[in-house]
Amino acid sequence: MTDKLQRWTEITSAVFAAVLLLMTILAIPAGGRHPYEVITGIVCSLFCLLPALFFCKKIMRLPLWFTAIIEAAIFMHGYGVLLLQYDLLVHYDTITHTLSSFVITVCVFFSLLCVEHYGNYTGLKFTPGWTAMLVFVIMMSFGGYWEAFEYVVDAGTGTMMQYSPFDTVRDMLSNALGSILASTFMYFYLKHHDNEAVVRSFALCFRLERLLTWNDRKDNPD
Amino acid sequence: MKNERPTWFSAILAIAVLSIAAYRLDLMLALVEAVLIVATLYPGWRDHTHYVSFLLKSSVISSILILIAEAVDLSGLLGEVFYGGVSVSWILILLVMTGASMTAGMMISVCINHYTSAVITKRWMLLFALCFALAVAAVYMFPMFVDLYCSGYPVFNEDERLTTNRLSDRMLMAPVLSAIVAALPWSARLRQCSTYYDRNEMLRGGPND
Repeated sequence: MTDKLQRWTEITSAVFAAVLLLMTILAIPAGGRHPYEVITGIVCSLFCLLPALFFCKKIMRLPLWFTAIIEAAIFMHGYGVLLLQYDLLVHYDTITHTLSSFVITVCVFFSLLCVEHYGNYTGLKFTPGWTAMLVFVIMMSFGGYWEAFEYVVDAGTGTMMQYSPFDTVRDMLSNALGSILASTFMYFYLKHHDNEAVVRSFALCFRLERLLTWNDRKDNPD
Repeated sequence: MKNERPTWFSAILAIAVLSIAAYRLDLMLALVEAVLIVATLYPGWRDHTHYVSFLLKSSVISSILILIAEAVDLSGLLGEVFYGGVSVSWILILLVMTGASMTAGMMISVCINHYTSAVITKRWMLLFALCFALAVAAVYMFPMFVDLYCSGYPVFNEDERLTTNRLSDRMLMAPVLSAIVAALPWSARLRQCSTYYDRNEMLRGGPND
C-alpha cells in the first residue's frame, strides 16, 4: 500500500514538474518574456517535486488527493504566469487564489491535527466543528495580515502590490471562499476519519515529532 | 448568584452600543455587538453560569470605550481632524471595536471548551480571540468596499485617479490596520488576567458550583 502511494506521489509530482519545466524552456525562445516569468516557471516546477521528495526522504507522507491538489495549485500559478493567462483570462486570478487558499487551509488543518496529537501533555482535543471554525478565522486573519503587509510595503516603497481596492477585496473574497470550502470539506472529512489515524498516516520524521512535542517538556500545560 | 449583575450590566451596555451602531448604519459594529450580547448571555440561559470577572470587565470596558468614541464622533469634537485623509474619530471607533471582537472571541472559545467535547487551553482561546478580531476586521473590508464604490471613490484598476490619490485604499485598510494595532495590547492584557484562572473555571455558578 505504501509502495503504491509512493509510486503515485512520485508520478504525480514528476509529471507536473516536467510539464512546467518544458513550458518554461519553450517560453524562453518565444521572446518578450520577463525574467520573473521564467524564474517563476523554474521555481514552480521545483516546488512540484516537494511532496515526492518528502516521501522519498521519509520526512512525511501526504495523502494522494492532497498531493494532486497541491500540484494543481502550483501548476495553475506557473501556467498562468508563463502563458500570461493572468492577463488574458477573465477570473483566472480569482480561481488560482481560491485554489491556493484551499490548499493552505487544508495545510493549516493538518498542522492543527498534528499539534493536537503530539500535544498530549496539555490534554488538547479538537472536535471537527471547533477545528473548522478555528481554521477559518486563522485563514481570514492571515488574509488580513497579508493585505496589511502589502499596504505597508506600498506606502513605504511606492510599489503597487495592492493595485486597487477592487483587487484587494477580490483577493480577500477568494481567500474567504477557499477557506470556507476547505473548512467544510475537512469538517466532513474528520467526521468520517479518526484524527489519530490521519496523523499517523503522515508518518512524520523524528525531528518533526520532536518539534511538535516541545510543549510536553514545559512545566505549565496552559 | 455570582457575577449575575455584572453580566446584565455588560449586556445592557452592549445593547446600547448595538442601538447606536444600528442607528448609524455601522453594520459590522452592530454585528460584533450582537455576537457579544449572545456570547455574554448564553451561559446564563444555558445553565445559569456566568463568566469570571476579567471577561466581563473586558466586555464592559470595550463597550464604554466604544460609547465614548461614538460620542466624540457624533459631537464633532474631532470632526476636522484627519490622519492621511481618514477621520481620526472613525479610527478611534475601529480601535476600540477590536476590544469588543476580542472579548466576544474569547467568550465563544470559553463556551466551546465548556459545552462541547473540545478541550482548549487558554493559549488557544487567546489565539482564537486574536484571529476572530482580525477576521472581523478583514470581513469589514466587504461592506467598506461597497460603501466606497457607492460614494464614488476610485476603486477599480482602470481608474486613473488611483495613480495620484490612494485615499480609497487607506479607508479600505483602516479596519485591518486598526485591528492589528489594538489587538496586541488587548491580547497581552487578556493573557495577563487569564493566568489567575484555570481554563475550566472561566465559567462559574450554576447548580453544581
